[in-house]
Amino acid sequence: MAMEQSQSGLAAVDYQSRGEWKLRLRENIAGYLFLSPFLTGLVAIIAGPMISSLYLSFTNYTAFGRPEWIGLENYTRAFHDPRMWSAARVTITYVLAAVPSVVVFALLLAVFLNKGVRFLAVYRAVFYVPSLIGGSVAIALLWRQVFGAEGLLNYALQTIGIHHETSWIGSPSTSLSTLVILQTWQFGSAMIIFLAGLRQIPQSYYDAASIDGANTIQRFFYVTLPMLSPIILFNTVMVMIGAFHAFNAAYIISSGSGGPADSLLFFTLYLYQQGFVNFDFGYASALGWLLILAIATATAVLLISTRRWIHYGEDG
Amino acid sequence: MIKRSISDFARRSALNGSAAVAIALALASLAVRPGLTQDISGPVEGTIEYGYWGNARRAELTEAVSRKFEEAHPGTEVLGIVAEYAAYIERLTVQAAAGELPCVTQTQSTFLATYATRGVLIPLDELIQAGKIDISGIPEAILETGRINGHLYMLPTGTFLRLIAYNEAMVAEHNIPLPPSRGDFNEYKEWLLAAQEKLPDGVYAGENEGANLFTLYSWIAGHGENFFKDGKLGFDPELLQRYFEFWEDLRKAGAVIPADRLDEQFGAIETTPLSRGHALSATRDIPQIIQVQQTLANAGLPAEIKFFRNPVVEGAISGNVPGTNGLSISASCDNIPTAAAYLDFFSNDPRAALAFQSANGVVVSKPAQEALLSSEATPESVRESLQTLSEVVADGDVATATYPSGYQTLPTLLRRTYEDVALNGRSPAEAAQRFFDEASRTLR
Repeated sequence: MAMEQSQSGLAAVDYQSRGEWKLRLRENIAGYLFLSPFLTGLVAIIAGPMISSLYLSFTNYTAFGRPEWIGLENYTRAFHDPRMWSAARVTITYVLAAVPSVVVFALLLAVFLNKGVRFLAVYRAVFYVPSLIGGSVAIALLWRQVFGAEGLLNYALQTIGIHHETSWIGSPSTSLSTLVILQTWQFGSAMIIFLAGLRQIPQSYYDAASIDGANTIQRFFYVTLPMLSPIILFNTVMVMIGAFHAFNAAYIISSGSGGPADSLLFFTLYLYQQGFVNFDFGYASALGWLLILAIATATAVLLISTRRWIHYGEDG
Repeated sequence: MIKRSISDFARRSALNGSAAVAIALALASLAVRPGLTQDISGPVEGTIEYGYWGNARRAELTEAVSRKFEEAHPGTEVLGIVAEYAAYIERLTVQAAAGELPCVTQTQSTFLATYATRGVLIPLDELIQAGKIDISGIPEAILETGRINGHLYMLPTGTFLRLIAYNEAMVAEHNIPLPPSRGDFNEYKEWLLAAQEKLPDGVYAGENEGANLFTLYSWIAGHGENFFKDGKLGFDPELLQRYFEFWEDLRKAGAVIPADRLDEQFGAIETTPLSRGHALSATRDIPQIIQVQQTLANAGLPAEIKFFRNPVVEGAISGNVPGTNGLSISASCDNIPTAAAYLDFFSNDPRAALAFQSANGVVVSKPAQEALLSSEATPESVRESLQTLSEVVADGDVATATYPSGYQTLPTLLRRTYEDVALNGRSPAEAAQRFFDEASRTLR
């Protein structure tokens, strides 16, 4: 009897939850309809190709004919591929050099501009322009002219008595540095975000620090940096992800070869070569997923480290 | 409650997983080519798409040819789809994978095999036998560049026969002896070294060809060897080692462009050292002479470019390697009669030749050449190109060139390998072996 009552009670609860579910669905239909354009784009342009590339990474697909399942062969091949490691080394070097350069430069300039300089709006606009055009083909072509053997840099050095005849772009020891400089030149968008963050720091904190005898540098390290730390994290993550994805400049400057001598063989460029030059789309897909894993790992490490240095204010 | 939650979760997971698999399979199925049908009979009518590469000028000239075709064949329409070269190649791969190549597709001997061997282009032999396409005016050596496994997949329309260009005005200005045409490699090297002694600082006797695959091809052919055999490299690594040593000797002697400036040679023609007056000589395709001369002239530099033939060892047939641009018909074409008529018109009709002005390689068919030479409107530069090609072909001084599937990976591979020698000091022997090891993996 008790069991029957219990079972019929469960059945009644089950019927009631199904009714509630249907009611919730009807109420949410309008929301789903408004979301449908975004969801269509998400599936068709992002999720769909991602799932497809994940599948292809386990095949020997060459763009012609049917893909054949080969399991983890592409991934094991990647770990035994010396050029993959070379591309990874170039990319990590670039990330480790470019990210701090951009973040530090953007921060220092934002702190300077926050001191109430005249024509701030003009400076802001001028410094932001490279962020808009820096990733373009035109700028990459221009960079070749600036850092070439007969480029602007060597010409400028010559005017001050320094004779440098080799090409900065054409030498393996200096070519990557030119791209780090190009990336650093695009500090504008990070600077704008820092400027906005600096405006949020209450003046009373600086006043209190001054009263306690803190000088300018101490106020920067003990007030500005801790208060700005969430924004530093945001900018670092964004710039880091962009650096891992860097492709345009390396492709244009090296004419797609990754040279000189693979010094500009970014991971994305190597992935592109495997797919669109070697027509090895299965392997290229596997490399793409390894890149995603690398970015996710780097981001996770950064986020885990925030326990030690992020300050979220009095409530944080 | 927990049981319901687990079952709901399981059902949602199963649905989501099934949806994901379905999506993946649907997208992967796009890789399957549609079934092929071929019908070469039928009237010349209807619409065809023509995919080609080129800049704005070439697009204008190509569209002019298409309009002439439409006039000659009322009821037809040709829709041109143009892209810059690198973008065109990328798009070609994607279209081929999806079975959506344009009916008439521009191809090149260097990558023809990659597509022909995968069934995305139709062999033209049947159309030729049925009289739909006339190839009688095309030299056999040029025609061979459009054949894969004995079948013609591309109708060659323009050749980029690679010779050695030199600035004759600079030669005269600096009292440099004329270069040896079709001499041997020692004579070529001696000429470069002797020329360098008379050139001012900052000007080199030649561009550094160590990383140039076409020049390597000329080297191999000029030594009487086959570059490819049965789809693989057909020569010994030792010959490649000697090639690296040849250009390294010249680089170390200061007679060719330094290794850190190699990137200047791989940009647009107008920015290369030869075009900027920084090099006296370089290998160039015959049609490129026009751009080089114009760039030099615009800068007020000595601007008279001539050609001499590639060196050969005794017994070798030729070091002059042809590459060709041409037209193919895709396997997914649904209007083969009109596509075949377009190929024939483009290659042989005088109206097409006069409209196109040999804008993509030197025209190879005799009717087209005769039409251009007999027209007063033909520019002098085009006449010179035609004359140069005719002389070389008439002498039989053209090497046989084949380009197997995977060839497109070799230019970057050679450049990287040579940079390793010139910039990182790797030994030519080791570099040559590495080239062979990698090429054996990519040529397929």
